[in-house]
Amino acid sequence: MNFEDIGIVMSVRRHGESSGILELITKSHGRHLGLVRGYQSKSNKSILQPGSTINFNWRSRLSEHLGVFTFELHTSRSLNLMKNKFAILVLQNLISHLRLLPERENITEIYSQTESVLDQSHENFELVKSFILWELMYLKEIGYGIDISECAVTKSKDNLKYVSPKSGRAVTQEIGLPYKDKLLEIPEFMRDAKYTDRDDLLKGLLLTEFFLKRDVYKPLQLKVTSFRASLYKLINSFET
Amino acid sequence: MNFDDKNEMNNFIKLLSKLPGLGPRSGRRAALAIIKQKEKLLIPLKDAFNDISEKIVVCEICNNIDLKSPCAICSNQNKDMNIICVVEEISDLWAIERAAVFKGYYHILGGVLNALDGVGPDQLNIEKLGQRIKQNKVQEIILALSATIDGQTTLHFLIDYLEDFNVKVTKLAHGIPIGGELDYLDDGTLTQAILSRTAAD
Repeated sequence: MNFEDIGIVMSVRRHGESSGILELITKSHGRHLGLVRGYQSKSNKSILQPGSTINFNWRSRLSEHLGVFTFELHTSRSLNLMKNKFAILVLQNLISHLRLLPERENITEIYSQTESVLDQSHENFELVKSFILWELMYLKEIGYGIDISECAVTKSKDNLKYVSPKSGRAVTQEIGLPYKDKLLEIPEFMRDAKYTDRDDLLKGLLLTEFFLKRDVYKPLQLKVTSFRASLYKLINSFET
Repeated sequence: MNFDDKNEMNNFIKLLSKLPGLGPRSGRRAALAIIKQKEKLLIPLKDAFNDISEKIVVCEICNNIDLKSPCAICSNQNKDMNIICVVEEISDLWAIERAAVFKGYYHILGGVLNALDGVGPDQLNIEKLGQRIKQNKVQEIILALSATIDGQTTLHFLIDYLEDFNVKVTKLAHGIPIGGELDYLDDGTLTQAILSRTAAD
């Protein structure tokens, strides 16, 4: 078995004295793991930082084996990520979601969207917005998508304001108003892409968090990582 | 000797082969070298191991390891009380001590934040750092953490945490290492070195 592909580094765990087990989200082979020989070397460690994109070759005698990666750097994002608190928290949250994907199951959309979120790291609120939209896409791709295209009751496409936590479907402001305490609010930027403000981002994070917790993390008996709370706190600390 | 036997000799080789830099073959070589020099190596090593295993303790102040607690660094009165250098591991403390450039005290976190491995703020030695700052009226905290994603995640967390303590927080510079040739540097280091350039006077 032997293939070449491109992938984003998620993590590397030390294996033995000089090797590491590299975890990638790849363009055509889903979440993929493999052994990296000489991981402890200075040059390899600087390439294999989470968030960097690498060109790699994976080979193994049998397809079910762990296999060995050889690689070279395609895009390094370490500096941009490390100096920006928003970017580093978004990255940590992305990785914790990606870790839950089944191994070696190709979802091209997730790879390309992950790359575009990571490339947004120059503008903080836009970055968080693209991360929340990424979470919506992630839920959809793994089969737990929420439908905010039309009202579940009236079929209207206008004035959609709330999402039912039960069905994951949108309702208009008029229909949802009497039950607003039980419903989740749709942030403005999900209807109008130009719009971004602090409260809207917080609403977006709460919306996706509810479905991620209920449909993804809880069935796996996992908790969302503390980095999510840190991101929420960071956004909340900004003046409106 | 049959290497499959479970006897004391094999156990000795097996333990040696678990040391960094050694494998089963080099473990056997090391075992043979130790045994051949019974008076010079084997007995002094045995005594040294006994001493270490009985006396080694973790410093109650900084988390360093030493033969006493507080450790030799924490009990040194000649150091600058106003500065604490925060490092990830004991090996980082040793590295800075080797450089002999820092005159303050240390604080060892015991790792870096890593949600995937389940290392959160509670698993690190962070609360004790806050207590030390309050008790000793520390004026500066140097965050000497790795230039890795996890290291910098921890750094951002600590900057937030230390906001409430009215203390100056600094971090290590990134740039060209001594003896480093530009051609061999990675893009990130080079970019950071250019961004952090200083006046040549």
